Amino acid sequence: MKSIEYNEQLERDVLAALSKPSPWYWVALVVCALLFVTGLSLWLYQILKGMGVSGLNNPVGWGTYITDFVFWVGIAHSGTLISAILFLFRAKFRNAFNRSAEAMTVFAVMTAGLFPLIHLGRTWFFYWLFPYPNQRGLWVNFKSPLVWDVFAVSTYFTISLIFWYTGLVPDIAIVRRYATGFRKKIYSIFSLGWTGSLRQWWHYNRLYVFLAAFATPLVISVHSVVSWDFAMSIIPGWHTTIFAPYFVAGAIFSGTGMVITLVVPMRKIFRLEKLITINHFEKIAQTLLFTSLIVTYSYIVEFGLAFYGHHQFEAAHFTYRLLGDYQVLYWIMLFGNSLLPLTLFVRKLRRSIVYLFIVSIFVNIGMWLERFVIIVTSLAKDFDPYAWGLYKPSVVEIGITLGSFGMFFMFFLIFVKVLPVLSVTEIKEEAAHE
Amino acid sequence: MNEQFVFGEKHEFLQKLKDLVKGGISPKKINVFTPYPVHEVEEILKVPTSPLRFFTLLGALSGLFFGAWFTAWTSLDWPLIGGGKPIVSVPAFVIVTFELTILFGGVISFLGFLILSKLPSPKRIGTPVEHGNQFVIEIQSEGK
Amino acid sequence: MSKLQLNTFTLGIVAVIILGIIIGLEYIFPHGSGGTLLLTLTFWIALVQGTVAVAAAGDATNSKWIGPLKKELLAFHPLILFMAFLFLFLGLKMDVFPWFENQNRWLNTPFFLTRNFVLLVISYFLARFYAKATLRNSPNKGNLAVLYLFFFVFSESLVAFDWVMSLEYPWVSTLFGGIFFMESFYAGLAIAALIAAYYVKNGIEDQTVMTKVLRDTATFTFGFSLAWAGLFYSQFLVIWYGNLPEETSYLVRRMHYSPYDILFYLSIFLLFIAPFVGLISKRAKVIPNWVRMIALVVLAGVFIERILFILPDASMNVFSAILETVLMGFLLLLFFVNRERVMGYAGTERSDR
Repeated sequence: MKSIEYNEQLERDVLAALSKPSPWYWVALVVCALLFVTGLSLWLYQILKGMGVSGLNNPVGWGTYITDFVFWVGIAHSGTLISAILFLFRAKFRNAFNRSAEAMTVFAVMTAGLFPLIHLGRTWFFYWLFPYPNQRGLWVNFKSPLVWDVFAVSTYFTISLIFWYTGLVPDIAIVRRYATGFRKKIYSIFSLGWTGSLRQWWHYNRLYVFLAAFATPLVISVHSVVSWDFAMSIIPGWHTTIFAPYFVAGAIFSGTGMVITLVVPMRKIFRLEKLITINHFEKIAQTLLFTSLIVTYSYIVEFGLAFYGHHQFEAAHFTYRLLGDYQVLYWIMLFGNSLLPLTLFVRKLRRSIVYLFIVSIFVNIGMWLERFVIIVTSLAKDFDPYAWGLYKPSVVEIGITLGSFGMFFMFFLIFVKVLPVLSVTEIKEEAAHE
Repeated sequence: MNEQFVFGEKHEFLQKLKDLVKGGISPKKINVFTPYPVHEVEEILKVPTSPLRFFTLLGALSGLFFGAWFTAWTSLDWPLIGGGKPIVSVPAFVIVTFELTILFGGVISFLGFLILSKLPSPKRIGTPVEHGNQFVIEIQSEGK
Repeated sequence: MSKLQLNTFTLGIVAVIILGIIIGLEYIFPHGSGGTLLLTLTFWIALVQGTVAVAAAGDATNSKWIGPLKKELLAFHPLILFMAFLFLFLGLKMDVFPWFENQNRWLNTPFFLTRNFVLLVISYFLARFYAKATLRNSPNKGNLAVLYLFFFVFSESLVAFDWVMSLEYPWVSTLFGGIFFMESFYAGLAIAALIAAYYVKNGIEDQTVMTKVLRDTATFTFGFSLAWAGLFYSQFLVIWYGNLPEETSYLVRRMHYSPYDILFYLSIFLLFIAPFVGLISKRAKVIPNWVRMIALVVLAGVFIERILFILPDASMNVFSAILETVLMGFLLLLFFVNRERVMGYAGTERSDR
């Protein structure tokens, strides 16, 4: 097939997804929107009634909201891994996933960014987190990991947005060509008048490489900073040096799981089987397996070294995780994160789309539970027995968590109908090299 | 009027480009439109490295210096001992400085790209130039 | 170099002789011999395993960039067995460990020696099977590469936790294992860069291919300098911020007391600042002399860091240390020069190249 025919067929296949939505799409969108609106209403209820409507108490002052925050920031990471890190390693399989993954990153960071605001209680004081000149001469505490979070997550959101948008510009120009009327005007504006001239590609290529080179250390630093929210404390289970790489690997792991969860149905619904093949999925499955092994290594090292020295509190804490009040969650977490992914060593299972989808659901659940277990067990039982106490999420917290999932999927559904889900330009470029 | 050569296939396009350059047409007068970046074009037309890297360097360095200065200055402006740490605690400030380096570097690189590519172009937003999947060579004629 | 060409049998004899000399030094200079032996063990095991790990990582990810250097990198794998036997002699110097008086279920002499020895021997056999498979381009090479990497991570983590971290017993850092196997990989990359630079400089092998390999190894070395800095900082920050006396003793001893503080800042310079600044520009990555220098700087950095870990807790004998380092360097060079014979695969298809 001549390349121009291939390219035009490719465009038609990908842009077919942007056509008039089926009724099922509307059903899905409405369900997600309803969840989102419920979550927002519950948040409003919490603002009016106070933080008491959540299950947060003394000693467990961090619970579901922080779990959600870390979870969503983690989901965002695999998008950057696939776009930026695999780009630098020249891994070709990334082209099947990178646009959706980048979109996933932007939406996940937006969702994550809401949770510090929700957790604040007095949400209207959120701007105190940013350093601005004020009449009292006050500045933020740059020694606090929470302020590091502000800078890390803001930077991550900005750079991910720029990276996603930069990749989109040539693709929006393609959609512009097929669009008509008012839609054409919108796409023309957002494609900035892109013509594909030599000068534009010349600078564009360098920009993409620089953004990828910036995004790589950024993504590692962001989840390291998030992990240091915990590691900078001194309580057992939190104060441990392995947290930074452990959390980064866990983030990439959970994000890769979410990519599989999103792309499997998307591929089926939009009939993109030719462009997102089983070989692509096998590579993603290998990434999932690899990061699962790093997470398992971290579990083993943490657990082993807890019993190594004279540190009775560390040993007691890990016994509590394994056999204490939250042990069921812990065992589910071990199953979903460490044991089930081991089955991906079997080639046939790696190449089964259905199996990968099931595994990805367990990974999502397992990683959410992992964050919950780490946060809650360390707070529930630290040094002083007099200060021990349990925590259970309230209806408001559960509702807001579900609302965050609703928000994320809602944005993703909108994305799927407005922008091309595959990076058409990069696929054309790759096809031309073969 | 500008001369235009339109091709459907990449190799034909590259061959014509090579022929034109060999034929003595100055690369400065040749403009090229492609549906995706074609690296061979840069070799044939002897295009130097893009100056975008200066924007990137400027951005990254400004972020680095601003981050280091801002964290240190605000801590000294109202010195509070937090957590028994020194007023200017370098290990903690490294993180904020690092993030700002990347933030400024990325944003200024992007702005540099827009400036260097002369985007957004109101003329082209109003009347888009569509070459589709074709490779186009445009030669500027004498006397604009 | 031709006078260093030996057959396998003589090579084995030379290895045994060097083993004997190193052990002999422990008796001739008994003071500080535990520390010196640990230094030799921890530094050279990192290089010997790291080079194989780099080749294995290339095969596990099906990437082609390391292909031309595979035979060179795998030349050192028999020395894993050498290191295993050298390790056994640590058994005579166990008093270097503070837990020697007070042994517990994990840290007791027989278990300590057995588990580490067994792991190193398994790593050796896996490296050997993997080397055979990859040089014959057998379809198993990917799986064997992954299996080797498993045991690489396992054995290097135990090198960290058992051999080095227990010197500071009961001090614990969960990241210590990660730092060691990452540094081992980093050292392997530095050696790959050294070999590539040597080939490009002396016009050996296909120059276009080798220049690309040189650039790729230099790029990876650059990347790993950042990775090293990240891991070092992660460990440092947690200990510094928590300020717990049982943890900070490790850092305080190395940062605030001479001569360790010089070593501390020197290791940061050698392992991060120099390779990062030195290899950041595109042009620098393909200049053989420059890359060679940076690679040597990195290896020196790993060596200095090992001294920094061990010296505050176990004294060393300078003369023995120098002599052992020279002997080990010589041994590695011998194995490199004799790589064809070592693996007995003269005439293998060079399909990876």
